[in-house]
Order: sequence, then C-alpha cells, then structure tokens
Amino acid sequence: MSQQPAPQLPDPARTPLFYQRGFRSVLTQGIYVALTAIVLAYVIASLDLREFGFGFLSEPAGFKVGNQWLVDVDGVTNSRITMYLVGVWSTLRAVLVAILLATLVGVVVGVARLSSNWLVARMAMLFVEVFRNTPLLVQIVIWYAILLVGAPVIQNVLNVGDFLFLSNRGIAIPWPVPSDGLWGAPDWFVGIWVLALIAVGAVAMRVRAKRQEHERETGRILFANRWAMGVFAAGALISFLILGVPVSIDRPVIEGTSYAEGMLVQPEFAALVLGLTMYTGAFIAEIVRGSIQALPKGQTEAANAIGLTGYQRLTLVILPQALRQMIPSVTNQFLNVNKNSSLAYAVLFDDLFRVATIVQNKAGHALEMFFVIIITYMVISFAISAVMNVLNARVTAHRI
Amino acid sequence: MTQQLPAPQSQRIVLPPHRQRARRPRSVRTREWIHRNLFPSTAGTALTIVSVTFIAALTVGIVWFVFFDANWRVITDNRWLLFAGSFPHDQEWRLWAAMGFVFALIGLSYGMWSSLGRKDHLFIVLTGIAVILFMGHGGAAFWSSLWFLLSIALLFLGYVIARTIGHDRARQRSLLTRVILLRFAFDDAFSLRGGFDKTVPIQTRARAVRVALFPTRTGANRIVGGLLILALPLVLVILLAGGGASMRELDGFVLNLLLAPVGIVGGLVIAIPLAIGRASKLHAIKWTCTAYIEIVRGAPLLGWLFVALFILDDIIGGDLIIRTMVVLAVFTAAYMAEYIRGALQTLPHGQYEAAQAVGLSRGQSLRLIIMPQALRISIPPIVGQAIAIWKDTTLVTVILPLRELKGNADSAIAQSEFIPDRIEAYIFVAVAFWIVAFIMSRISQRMERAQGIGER
Amino acid sequence: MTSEDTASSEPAPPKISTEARPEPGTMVPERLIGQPDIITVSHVDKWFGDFQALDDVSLSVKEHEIVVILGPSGSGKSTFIRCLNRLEEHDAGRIVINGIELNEDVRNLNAIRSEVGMVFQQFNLFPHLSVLSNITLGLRKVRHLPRLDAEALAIQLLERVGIPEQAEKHPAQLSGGQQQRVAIARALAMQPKIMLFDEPTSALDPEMIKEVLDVMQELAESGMTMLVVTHEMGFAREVADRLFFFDEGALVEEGTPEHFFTSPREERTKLFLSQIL
Repeated sequence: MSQQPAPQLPDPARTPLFYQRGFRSVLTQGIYVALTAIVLAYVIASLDLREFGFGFLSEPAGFKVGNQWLVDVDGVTNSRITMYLVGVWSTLRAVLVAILLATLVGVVVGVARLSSNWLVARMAMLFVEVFRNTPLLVQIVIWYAILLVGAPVIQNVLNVGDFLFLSNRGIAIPWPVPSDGLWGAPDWFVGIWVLALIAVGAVAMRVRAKRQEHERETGRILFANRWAMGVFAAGALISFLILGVPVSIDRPVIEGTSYAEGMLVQPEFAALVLGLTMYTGAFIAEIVRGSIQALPKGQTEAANAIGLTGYQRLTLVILPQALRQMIPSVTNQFLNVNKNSSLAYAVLFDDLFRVATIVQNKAGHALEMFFVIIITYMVISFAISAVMNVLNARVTAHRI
Repeated sequence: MTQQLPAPQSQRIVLPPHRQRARRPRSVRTREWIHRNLFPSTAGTALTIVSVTFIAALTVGIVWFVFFDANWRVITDNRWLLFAGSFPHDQEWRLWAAMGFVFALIGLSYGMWSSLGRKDHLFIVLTGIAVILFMGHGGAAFWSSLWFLLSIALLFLGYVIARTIGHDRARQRSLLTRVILLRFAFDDAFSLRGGFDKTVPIQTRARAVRVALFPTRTGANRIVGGLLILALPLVLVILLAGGGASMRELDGFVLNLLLAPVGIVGGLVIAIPLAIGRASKLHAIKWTCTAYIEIVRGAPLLGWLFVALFILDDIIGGDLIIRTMVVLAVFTAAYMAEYIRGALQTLPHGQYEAAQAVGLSRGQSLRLIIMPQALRISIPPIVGQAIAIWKDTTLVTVILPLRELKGNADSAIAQSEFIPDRIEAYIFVAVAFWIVAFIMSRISQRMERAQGIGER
Repeated sequence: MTSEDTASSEPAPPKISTEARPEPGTMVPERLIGQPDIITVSHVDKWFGDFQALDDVSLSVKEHEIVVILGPSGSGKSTFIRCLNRLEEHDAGRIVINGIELNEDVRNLNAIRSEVGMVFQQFNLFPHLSVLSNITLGLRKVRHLPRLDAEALAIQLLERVGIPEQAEKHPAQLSGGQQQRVAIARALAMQPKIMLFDEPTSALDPEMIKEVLDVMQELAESGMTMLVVTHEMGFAREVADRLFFFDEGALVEEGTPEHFFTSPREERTKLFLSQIL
C-alpha cells in the first residue's frame, strides 16, 4: 500500500477570544469607527447648525449676474437658486468650449512635439513648458489684461475682414441666427429644418452601414463613405429646395461705440476659456505625446512599410491606437477643467462658484452653500466621466 | 518593464578593432542633420519657413515688449512688496538667513544624492544674474544682491561639502575609532625621538583629522535627511521666533514659498496612511478613506479655501494662514493618496508574500518593504502634484484676504501710476512661478533617472 | 491597522503534541524511522471561489525528511505548500506544524513564520535593498539581532550558497540563479526547521538550474526538513525520501522514488510520469 492513513490529531486547544483574528478585525474596526464618530461628532458640535436649511435659496436674490447668454434674469424678482442656476449655465458653457478647444490644442501640440521638424518640435516643447509650469490663475489674469489693456479701444477696433472684431469690449464673431425661410415661414420652421436634416443624416448613416455590410460580404469596394455623403448632400439639397434655409449667418458690425449683430464674446469669458484651453492643452499635449511614444516602434515602421504617407500614418495607425491609452488621463484633465473653471472668480466672470459666494455674502449659510457647490461640481464631473466612459467603451470595444 | 542591466563583466565579449573605422567629418554630419531635421521635403521646408517666420515675429515681439514697451518700474519699485509684502523691514535679516539656510540645504542634498551638471550650473548662474539685474534695476539693492550672492555661494559650499563627505564609503564609525584617529593625528607619542614625528606625512595627519571629524556617508545621509525634514519648522522659527514677524505679516512671494512646502509635506504625511487605508481589507477603514479621497477631489481648491474662510473657523479656529495650510495639506493628500495607491497596486504581489514569509508583521512589511518601493514608483506623479500645489498657492488670493505674490501684484497695479502696467506685473509673477516649477520638475527627472540604476 | 500588526508581541501559543506513529513499513526510508512527524495535515480543503484547489488532503512529514511534490499545473501542489506557512488559508481540515496549529489564532501566525522558510518561483527578493540587507532584514526586525551579528550570519549564509562576493549588490544586478540562491539564504537566515520550495528552478535559464539544485542538495544533506515542488526529476530521484503526486487538488499517490519510478500504482501517476520523463 502506498497511501498513508489519515493522521490522527488530538483536539486543538480552544483559542481565547482575544487571540482570534476575526475578533481582532472586529475590534480594530470598532475602535476605528468609534474614533471617527468622535471626530465627526466634534465637527458637528462645533458648527452652528441652528439655522441649517436650504430655504434661503428660494428668496429673491437682489443682485445681478453678468455674462448671461440665452437667459434673461435681473435678480430683482428671481430667486437665489435661479441666479445660481444661471451661474451653473455659465460654467457649463465655459467648460464645454474649453474642453473642445483644449483637446484640439493638445492633440496638435502633442503631435508637433514628436515632429521630425526640429523647429516645430522645439516650439511645441516651449509651449508646453511655458503653459504647464505657470499658475493657471496668472495665465487667466494675463489673458484678461491683454484683452482689456492690450486690445485696442472700440474706436480703433481690430477688424479681421469684416468677419471678426477685437477690441477691449470683447471679441465679436459671426453667429447663426434663425431667419425666414424661402417661403417666408415663421421662426419655428427652424425646428422642422433641423429635424429634416437629422432625418437625412440618419438615412445617410443607414446607407453607409448597408454598403459596409455588403462590402464585407462580397469583398467588392462599394465606397460606403462617399455614398453616405452623396445621400446626405442630396437630402440636404432637397430639404433646402422645399424649406429654404431658415438660418442665416449674422456678421458683427460696429455701431458707434458698441458692437451690434453677431455674437459678442465678452473679455471675461474669453480670458477664462483661453486660460483653461492653453493650460489644459499643454497637459493634454504631454498625454498625447506620452501615449504615442508608448506605442511600439514597429507600428510606425509597419505603416511606412505599407507605404502610408505621414498624415495617413498618423490618422490611421498611430492616433487610433494612442487614443485608447489616452482616454483615462484625458478624462482626468477634463475633470480638472471643470474644477479649474472656478478661477472665473478672478476675472469676475459670474460662474457658479462666484454666484455662490455672492449668495453666501448676502445670506450667510456658508455650510449649505458649500454643499451646493460641491454637489454641483460632482454632478458635472460625473456627467463628464459618463460621456468619457461611453467613449472609452466604444474605443476599446475590441481588443488589439 | 524594460531595464538596462550592466552585463556581467565575464560574459561581455568585445573583439579588438582590427582597423580604424572611418568617421564622417563633422561638416557632413551637420549638413545631414540640417537636411533631415529642417528641409526633408517641400512640405517640411515650408513648415520650417513658417516656423522661422513665427519664431522671428515672436522674438521681435518679446524683445520689443521687454526692452521698449514694458514699464518694469511696476516691479522694481515694488520689489519688497512683491517679495515679502508686510514683513517688517527691520527683521529683513531673518529672510536672508532663511534663504541662505534653504540654499545651503539644496546644495547639500544635491551633493549627497545627485550631482550638478553643466546645465544646472548655467541655470543657477543665469537665474542669479537675472535676479540681481532685477534687484539692481532701480538702484538701492546693493545689500540685497550681496545677500543673494551669498546664498548662492552657500549653495555651492553645501554642494562641495556633501561631495567631500560622499567619498567616505564606511557605513559607521564608532566614537572610539574617531578618538584613536585624532590621537594619531595630533599625538607625538608615536615618535621615538620625542617632538613632532616627521615620519608621518602631514597629509596623512590631515586625512586622519578629516576622517575623524566628518560623518560617514550613512551619517551624512541621516544628517541631511533630518535637516530636510526639519527644514520647514526651522525656517518658520527663523522667521517668526523671538520678535520676528507675526503670522499675518507673512506675505508676498514668501507666503507662496511657505504655503507650498506645508501643503506638500503635510499632504504626503496624510496621504500615506490614507493610501494604505484605501487598500485595507477592513471595510470600515477602506470606505472612509475612499470617501475622503473622492469628496476632496470632487470640489475645486477654491471651494475648500471657502471652507477655510467660513466654516473651518468654527471647527479648529486659529489664524486664517494656519487654516489655509491645513486645507492645502488635506487637499493635496487626497491626490497624492491616489498616486500612492496606484503604485501599491502595481507592486508585484510576491513582495507582500515574501515579506510575510520572512516573518515581518504587516506594519513592518509596509514600512520596510512596500512603502519604500511604492513611494519610489510614485515620485513622478507626486512631484507633478507638488508642482500643481505650488501653482495653486496663488489661489489663496482669490477669495481669502491673504496676499501672496499675485495678490501683491494686484496691490502694485492698484497704485495710480502703475494702473496701465498690469501685464508686466502678471508676467513677472508668471516667470517667478515658472522658475521654481522648472527647478522642481528638473529634480523630479533627476530622481527618476537615479532610481533607474541598479534597482528594479 | 490590522490585526497582524500586533502579532510579534503576542505570547507563545500552546503546542499540540504529535507523537511518532507506527510506521507503515515500506513507506519510510530507514534513516527516518523513529523520527517524529513535524508536519501533519488532516482532511484539508481549499476553495478559490467555487473552484476546489485542495480536496481532502491528508498526509504527514517526518523531521529531516525530503519530500518532493509532483503534479501537473493546476493540481494544487503550490496551493498546498502555500497553505503550510499560511500564505493561503485552508477552508477545512487541520494543519499542525511542529506542534503549532494553523488556525485563527494570531499568536500561531507569527510562530509558524519562524518555523517555516519559503523560496518562491519568482525569487521575490526586495529590489530596493542590497543582497546583505535582504538577508539581514528578518534577523534584525523580527529576531532583533544587532546589525553586526546579523551581517556576520548573512555572510556565512552567502558563503554557504556560494556567492559571498555579491553581498553589496542589488538583486537586479544578479543573475537569476544567484538571485534564487540569495532567496534561499534569506529564508535560511531565520533558522527555520522546515523549508518550502515553490518551483524554485522554473523561472531560471537552464544553465542556472544546477547551481540552485546543488545548494538545495547540500541543504538536504545537512538534515533540513524540505518540501519541494518541482519538475526536476533528477533531483526527485536522487534527493527525495518520499514523493507526493497531486492531481486535481487531491493527493493521488505517495511513495519512495523507487516506488514512483519503477512501479507507480495509479493510472494518473503513470500518465503524468510518461509525459514528463
């Protein structure tokens, strides 16, 4: 026989409770929880919570909020919460524009840093070093100073082809506005026109998908993208013939000492967005560079070997692969844009944080206002993360 | 992780060259470099031309602004305001003493753990010249320049001292050994003829004295490390103790230079237990640490400074500067904890097991095995966060009634004669911050490179 | 912190006496007859989620015995020896090592770690410490030896594994074979009664395997109790007193090398040996 019988062991001694690991774990956690509770209790006890409540938010505001767009509140009849929401809307605008522009700047500069052209690479490096290592607050106030002090007064406005005006009153740019359609239709026709375009777009996407499927099945090249674009152009033309274009581009003009028509980008908004864009752009550039450099060298060589041009190599081989590496870090930068937008305070742009401090100044309730602020930022951050997660899921849907 | 290890000497086979290899002349290589990097193709050439034009325009613009357009008197006239604000003038020496101490310490650390390259020397000299020019411009800066030069001299002195000690490789040397060495150096008992023994060369005696008096490398490591840890309290003592400035008189750039280290050091001290707690198996600890990190990271720093101003007063009281320091540390800690946790996760699990198998307790293995490695991995992001908090010290001006460099620049341009000069003032602020941030990022690169050798 | 923190200051746990049992004849080589059991494992189960890693394992090992554990990958052999110094916790059954029961008792955990040394497949040296510090760490921090004594012992151990000249180097500067020998020295430094080897040569280049096996053989001849998980059949044949064959979490067969290599009883053992030899 080659199998031992199971060894016989005397019964083990009972472990006293104090030496049992499970008990130790419970004990440590218990002590920890008790200490935490004591600290929390102390904090709560030191706060003056007698008037805690959010009722003050619905009282009339009694102050004005600047930099309004698409909203019109005067602060006399509107409640504090309304004014705060106007501030949130301003924050959202600045964050959205800054995120889009910063991504653009970041990708361009990041790719430029790896350019084979020595000068371009050096300039990109200089850009990154300058904008990354100086305080964002100072950058924003410098942009603001340039826009206020450096820019010409409106009498000597800087006119870029009657298309864009720059003065210390801000930047005026063309903007699409609703106008009468071909048949003199009313304003709400814009809606129908947009719906029609969406429908045409949907049809075009469907055509593209069908063509691609056929392509995969038959192996014949069916020019899915060209077909889709053709379908979209034709549909747009037809809708134009039927409905007319109910949108016109409104160019800015100067009337006396002020802008009229077009869209006025106020200096505060411009300074904030410029600062956020350049600062975040420099960080995103480093992320882009890092993730491109992390790709195996063989990828570039393989792309060269199959005869792609430099641009094709970048857009078809390098960037798509680098993208999946970039997304988590870039998401972090987007979240930073959200949080850094609070620096609007320094140029007196009425974002949510500044409106909140004004409310606190008028009504007190610092603790409540702090909760409101942090929850708002967290909700915006959550929204950004959610969008980026969807993007991430799409990009990493199939593993390489 | 790819690493380059020096191949064992015995296995490296190098055949002697049997003919002189031709080297292409430098002129050819230069021409090729220019061709490849600047004029590779038509498009490349066009890009170069556009870049050159742009750089030329930029340079002309900057030169014109700096030397002809800008009115730098907004800076030079407000030199003291920007640097130290309301710091009492008669206590000026305290600032210089603190500066000399910090510079000497930087020199010591560099000498101890790294080395100054040619670029570093150039950078120090250029910065020194720039600062002195700035001080000299507008006159009456002789003493300040002298003090500054002295500080730079202290930096190099510290560097040289640390380098000298660094040669002594012994780990420890007992007091007895030191006494014997000293006796050997000075005692004539070794001489049979009586009187000074000339058979022992004077150099040997000098060496004996040096070895006897100087700390060993390990000892020096401890001394410099201890000084680094104590640096912040020591500087505060120099500035505040015994009739120095009051807390509220810390102002201008001095305030930035104090707030940032407090945030960084305090942040790191809180971050380490926080990171360990977040990785803990005990749910209560894990969840509270996670909640702390996520909540702090959820709101912008300005929001937390709002807390320091309006809410924290009720909880901990104290001067606003103290509360701001607490908030900076608490804020930084959340970010640093995340980086350390990331490093903890990348450590191979075998390290934990090996530590257990050797018989270390959990606390010991964290302290001796896990943390040293995790901190080393997370140096780059931690320094990144340190630079971020350095830049963020400007934020105390925004809603708090504290005046750091940017805040005092605001005061400077509020003077009626300097109202049009705000761009100059802010650009000066930006450059001042840039210089320190640049030094920090250089140090980080150094540490990264140093840790790559021989370890992991 | 957690509970293990305090373990080093705990009093010694009560011991369980495991007396020498009657030998089942052919099972035990002559030189071990009369030796007491140092490891006793009784009906041990181990689950990872719903995967059963160990299935009713019972065995015992005598003092000074050299045991080689064989088995295909995923057979539970590594899990088994990791249970022996409680890097893994078994879910059912009992393990008693040198009279110390492996259970929830925090005192036992600390006690067992100084009874049992372990050598890992991936060496797991501490990369931030020099070779010397790797070895002296446990001596100084757990045994509280003065630095000089610890270093003298470490140099002795390095001489024993044949690389005293590498003391000041860092692990990354050594070859795989040298690293594994340092790992053995590190485990020996704690003066364990039992050494566990978890595939000590599997991560090594072929030319380095021998230098590690030589050290292990020398260790075996010095009277150490050893449990070795390995695929080195030469080592098993020459050095082992007894072989255990694991498959699918269960102890399928045990016996002397002679029994294993000439007349294995179980079909699965035969199949495994035919594949590996």
